[in-house]
Amino acid sequence: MEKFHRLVMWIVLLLIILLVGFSIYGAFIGAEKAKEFFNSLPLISYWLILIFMLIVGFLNFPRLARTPSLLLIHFGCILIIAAGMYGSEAGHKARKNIFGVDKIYRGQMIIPQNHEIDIVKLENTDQIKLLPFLIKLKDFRIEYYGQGQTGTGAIRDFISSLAVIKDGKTIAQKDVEVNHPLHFGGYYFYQHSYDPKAARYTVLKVVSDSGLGAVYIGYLCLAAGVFWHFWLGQLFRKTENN
Amino acid sequence: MEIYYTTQGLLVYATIACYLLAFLCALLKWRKAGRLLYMLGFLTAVFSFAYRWYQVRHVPLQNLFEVFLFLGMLIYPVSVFCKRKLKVENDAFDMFIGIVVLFPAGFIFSPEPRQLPPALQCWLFAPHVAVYMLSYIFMAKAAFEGMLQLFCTGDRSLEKESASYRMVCAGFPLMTAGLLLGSWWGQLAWSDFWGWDPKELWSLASWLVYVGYFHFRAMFGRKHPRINSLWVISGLALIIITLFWVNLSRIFAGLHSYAT
Repeated sequence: MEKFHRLVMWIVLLLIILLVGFSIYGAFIGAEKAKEFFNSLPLISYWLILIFMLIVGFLNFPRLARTPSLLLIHFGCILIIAAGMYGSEAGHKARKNIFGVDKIYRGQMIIPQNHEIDIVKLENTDQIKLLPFLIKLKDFRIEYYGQGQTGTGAIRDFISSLAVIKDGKTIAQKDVEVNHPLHFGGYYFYQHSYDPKAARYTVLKVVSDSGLGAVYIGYLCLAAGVFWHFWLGQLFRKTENN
Repeated sequence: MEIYYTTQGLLVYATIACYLLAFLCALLKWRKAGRLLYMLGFLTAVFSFAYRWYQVRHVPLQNLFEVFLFLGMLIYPVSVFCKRKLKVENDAFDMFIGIVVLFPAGFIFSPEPRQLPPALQCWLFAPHVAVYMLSYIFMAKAAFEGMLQLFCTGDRSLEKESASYRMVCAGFPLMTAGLLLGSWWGQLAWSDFWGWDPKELWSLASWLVYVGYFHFRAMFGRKHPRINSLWVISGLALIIITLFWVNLSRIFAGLHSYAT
């Protein structure tokens, strides 16, 4: 049994070192290729093995499950990786092929002023898809630093006033600006680009929110876990024994 | 690089001068003078931060200049905290970190309130940078203790190993918070909570080295103190690459490149 424990720990250590190596390799090839690399088949099997080993860890080391802080940390990691895979491009493809759930992964919308649009142009293809609701651009404006709207200062913000419309009724409204996307109907809508000549239309980036909630729950678990474990558990515990 | 002949600039230089003199005194083993100068430097830093606050009339943690000013002030409390609560004492090294941290505030980052591009106008920006830098201070102290450990034997070696461990324990949660805050911000600003850009991957790699360290230490405890130290030192090496190489060399074009 002792031997088995050791073996599991060595595998875990090997997986961590491998991921360090993958990350450094990814840093050298640039963001676009790195994304492809981390979504490739060999890496998908790596992620699955990592999740599997995290679960094996729980079964193999009762201390992990019994110590709440360690439980939070490792559970958080499982959640982040699993939910990240679920929400990835490959995750969207897999769900389409297996369950027939056809959700847009990434796309773009061009909305002229005072128009209601439901057409999304998919990223990296010429295909389009329709949303089950319409988005209306009520107003688009650019704000500059300094006084007035003369455009002498640097750009401070791009703002699109949007309304979500279904069956002729407005069901949601928001001023979308950089750092403040609209979240509606399973998608995030980001301020992406605009009409550089007359500011008569806006370009929104449409991003699926699949798995994102779970990723954030994972973040909370991980963050709470590390502060609890290392600050409260290791640094400020009553009995000193390390 | 630039010299700023403003009140703010001169206050920063005064702080650096105090820390530098304190550092020299510490090296010469003039303990008392060193400590006094260190404290004087701290008071100057507090004054400098308060002055900045008064000038800009908001919490001065909005841009890189202010964050580094804040860290230059924080190094003294960190030093005292580590000494009193965590039993890790190395004033000379802390003074040195103080100089290193204030250097960019004094000579590189412009104290002018900068017109931030839209993506950087997010409340997550300052905490993301601040917790990261604070964690890096602890990790630098950890690596320093680790290096000392490599040259010690017997009980003193174990003592240093454990001091290094306590520093990593102090810094790791902050590092995790920095990583997660950055990811959250990425989702708001760039529509992805993880974009695979070089800076993200270097920071992930450095975080993972400490994860590896914890697992290695959980396996072997203090049986191999030298290997434990090597983990911590390589962690700092990756942090330094994350901080400088990616930003300065411009070898990789990434989202984070304009952060300098």
